[in-house]
Amino acid sequence: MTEHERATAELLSVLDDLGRLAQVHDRPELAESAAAARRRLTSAVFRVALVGEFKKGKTSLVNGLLNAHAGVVDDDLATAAPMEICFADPPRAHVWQVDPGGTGTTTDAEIPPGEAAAASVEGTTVRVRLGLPRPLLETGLVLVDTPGVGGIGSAAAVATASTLSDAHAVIFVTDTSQELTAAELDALADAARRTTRLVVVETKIDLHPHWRTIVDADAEHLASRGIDVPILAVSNHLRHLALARGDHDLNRESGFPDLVKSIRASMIASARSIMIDDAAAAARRIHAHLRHPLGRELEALSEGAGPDPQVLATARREVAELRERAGSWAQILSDGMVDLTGQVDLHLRDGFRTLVAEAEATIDDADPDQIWDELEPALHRRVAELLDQNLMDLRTGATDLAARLAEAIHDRDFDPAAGAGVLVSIDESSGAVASPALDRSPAAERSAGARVQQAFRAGYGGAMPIMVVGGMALGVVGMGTLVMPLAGVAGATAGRRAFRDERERSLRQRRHQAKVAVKQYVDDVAFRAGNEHKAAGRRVQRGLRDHFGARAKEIARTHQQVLQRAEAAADAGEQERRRRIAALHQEIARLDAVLVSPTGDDR
Amino acid sequence: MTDLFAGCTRLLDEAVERVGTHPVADEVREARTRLAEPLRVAVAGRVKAGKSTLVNAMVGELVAPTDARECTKVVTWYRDGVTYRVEGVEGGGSRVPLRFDRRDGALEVDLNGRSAASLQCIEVTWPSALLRKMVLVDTPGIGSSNEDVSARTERFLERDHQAAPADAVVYLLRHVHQADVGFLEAFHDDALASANPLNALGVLSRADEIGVARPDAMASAQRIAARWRSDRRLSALVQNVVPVAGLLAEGARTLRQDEYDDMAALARADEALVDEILISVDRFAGSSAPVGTEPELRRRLLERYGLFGCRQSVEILRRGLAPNAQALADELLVRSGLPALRRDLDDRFSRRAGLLKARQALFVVHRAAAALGDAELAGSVERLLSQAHELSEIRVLNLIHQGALPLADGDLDSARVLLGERGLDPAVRAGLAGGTDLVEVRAALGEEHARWQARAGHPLASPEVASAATVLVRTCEGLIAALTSP
Repeated sequence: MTEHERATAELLSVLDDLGRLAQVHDRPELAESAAAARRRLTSAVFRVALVGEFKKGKTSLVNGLLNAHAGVVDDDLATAAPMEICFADPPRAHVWQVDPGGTGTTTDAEIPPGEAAAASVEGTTVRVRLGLPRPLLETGLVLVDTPGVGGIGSAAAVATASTLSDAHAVIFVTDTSQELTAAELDALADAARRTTRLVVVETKIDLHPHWRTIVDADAEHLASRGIDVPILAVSNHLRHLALARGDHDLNRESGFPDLVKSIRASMIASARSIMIDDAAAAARRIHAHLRHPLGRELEALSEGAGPDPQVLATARREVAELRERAGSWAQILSDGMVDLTGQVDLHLRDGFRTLVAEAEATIDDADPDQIWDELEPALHRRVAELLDQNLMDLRTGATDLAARLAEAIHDRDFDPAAGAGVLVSIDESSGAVASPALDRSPAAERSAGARVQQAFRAGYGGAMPIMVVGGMALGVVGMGTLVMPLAGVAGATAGRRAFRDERERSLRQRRHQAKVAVKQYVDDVAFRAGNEHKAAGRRVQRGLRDHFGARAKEIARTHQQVLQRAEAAADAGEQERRRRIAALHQEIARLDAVLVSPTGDDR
Repeated sequence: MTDLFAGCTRLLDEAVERVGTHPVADEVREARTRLAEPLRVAVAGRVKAGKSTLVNAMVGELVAPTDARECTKVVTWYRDGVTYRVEGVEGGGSRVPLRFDRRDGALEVDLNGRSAASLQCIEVTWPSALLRKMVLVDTPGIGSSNEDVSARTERFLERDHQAAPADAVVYLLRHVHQADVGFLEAFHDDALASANPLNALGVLSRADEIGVARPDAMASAQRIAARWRSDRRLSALVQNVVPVAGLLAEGARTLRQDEYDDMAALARADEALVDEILISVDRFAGSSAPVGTEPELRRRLLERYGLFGCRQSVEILRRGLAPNAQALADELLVRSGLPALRRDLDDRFSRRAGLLKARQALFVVHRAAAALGDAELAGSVERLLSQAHELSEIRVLNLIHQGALPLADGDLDSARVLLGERGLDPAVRAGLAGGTDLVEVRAALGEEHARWQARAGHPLASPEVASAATVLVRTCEGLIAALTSP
């Protein structure tokens, strides 16, 4: 059992205990929060995307990692669509394809797992999902093999960008035949901006005598660009040979054991750490909510000195204040979302308008017949960039909004990150649960931004089909579906065929038809992207509402309890007071014990 | 020499006289000089495509330095000459002699404290049979992580304000990359022949690595090259795509007796042991198994021939196909694909040298006439352009590549073959295999002649088709005439 597995098991039992205690304390909403945190911790999926230029050995690497022929490895054929490989027993496969008839619609179907590889190199395939019974995948790891970038035709670049935007970790694949090129370094810089969980894997070390020189040179290039990522050197060929022969020495020479270790240790583990932090934060919050009313009642009963009327007065004021600003966060949310979606939509429309204008200017300067082959991929690329940028805008805006919401409902008694109250420290490195103390864990020292990210992320917990670690849940709805409109290209191609057939027509007519084709394509993409954006906006809004709504409810209930208990304390006789004080001490000890010794009930 | 070339030479002489002391005079004089020199062929491609290795293989000596890391940082010219000489050309055009040395047969140039950036180019004069036929220009790769280096090649080949320094380009591709297409398009971007593959040849380089040095790697590379040959995007940019395993070719052309002996020792050693170390470069260079050679020697073999070369050599020697060093060199050379490339260079560039050079010269005079405001000179250029049948052929080829000739696919294919896209051998141009009996060739050309005459005279033919067909009719006539009076 790894540190993380033990920490996860401990946290699960802490959350179970807290859930039960919440029921005892008549706090069903906290019990629900504990259950939600538990679900997030157990159902996580972790997507690792393999990206890089084409013909660098990505698919072969995936096959080597899984000891399977998941994808086609060929001197010439290249992977055409992203292929997700997740756990499934028995194996199963699903494929999404564009209708070759040119209508631009996609169909999806279950296919025999043996046919998944062949589907991944077919031009009409948009996405393949393959489930395999492999131990590496059992922890929720999903490997995403992507089409290489840089080949003629640009659809691959689009699909890869979309894969990147919802990956939690990235393996950048290159080979040791040469140093990293300018384009590769740019791509790496981009990936490094998107995720901190990034490794560079250099393949074909069985073939290139100077692979060590190349790896050193690449380390220099990366350092000079300020990109701090580990480099691993492997040989797919040696790995396959080693697996076939059952040869351990050869396997070690292939570099794969280190790669697997790296994926497990740095990538999955760091994602696990964040999930554990998230669950621990939830546990701390629930604990604080449960404990706070008890502490205040103790104050009100004021051991030794007799009832303290101050406590009751404060509690009354707090509840009144809370009622006053109740709903203010909801107002901020709905106003914020209207502003955000409006802004993002405006940018998108503006971007599309500029794009059409530029394309039309290009068409006016040349014969569409001659430039179409360049214009078409350029257009695809620009559209993909625009959609990607737009998604980033939506994401950034949503993060800012989440920060403002957190500020609006802020209550430092229950916000663990504020460093007040009784907290549990989960040490990231050891994964051990420490005794109640002020939070000194790295989680508390993370920037406010990171906390907001966490808060925002938590907003999706349970609501999303796939729990997102590190990245943003938006990715799930994001490019994956937004890329689909590019199938609309088929429409543009049909338009192109039409104007190719009509050569005798004048240049002016050809230009007109080319413009119509461009406009149609962009309109189609804009329409679908617009719909997709609205849906994404709604999802964000719902996610934020659920998250902050639940937080607000917890706070309101806690204050209510404080008031009830303060009122009861004010009326209590001397004997009753003594009895309550003793009971409260006992109850607080029971609550704190949950955190000190999570497996206290010896399960 | 062709009519065009003779006419072009006369035109240049005339231009040199008329240009006087105008700023374009130098350019015109240089263009005139170039007409008398060998064809200039640039070797270009993305970074680490194997350009310098190919230059070495073609020259047959290790004249261009190579390294695992990016190596060629300065544009380097290789010319034939009576003595060995290396000169650096500085930014201002002044030449400085550079010291050089040959270590293990490889040329090493001492820049004597100069930075590569301060040199415009390096000129290596080297007595060599190949260089007598063509001047080779080795260029730094495009797409380098060092932007200076990429920019240098682009500066060299761009033709904004000057005649292109190269008449033709051998473009090395590993896999066809978007950047390759962009580069080739830029190379063709000139007024006289837009998007013309006439002066560009594609080489699928490091072909052995495409098939990860498997025994059938070259066959696999052949299939990929064939696919690219028929790809519309690429065939509009390069005439042909041939696979070459550059390192193997370089090694074969420079194989030494001691290397042969080491390979032979490997081939004699225990087969199972040797096969086991041939699995990976680390094993081959590092294993202490008793395989007849020391690791240090094996490391050097690997350096020179690559894993593919070592595997191939051992296999050739085990099968007893190479009783001596020369036989091994020949066998490796055939497998490297270099002979096919050399045939292609001969066929497509050397034979067309006059035409390729004339195009460049006409381009210069055309611009000079405009700069001088000399209507008479401009008229002479126009006349030559419209009369030269070779240039008419190129125009037809351009129309075909642009998809602007509404003809059936069969007609388009035979027009391209007739215009010399597969090679300039009359038999090949007639659509037959090279070396076919002359009577058959003449008969086939007669059929082509009749076909295009019919197209030209067809009442419904569009003006473009009619004029293209007329050009093709003349092409057939010229070919038939050449067959009858050699």
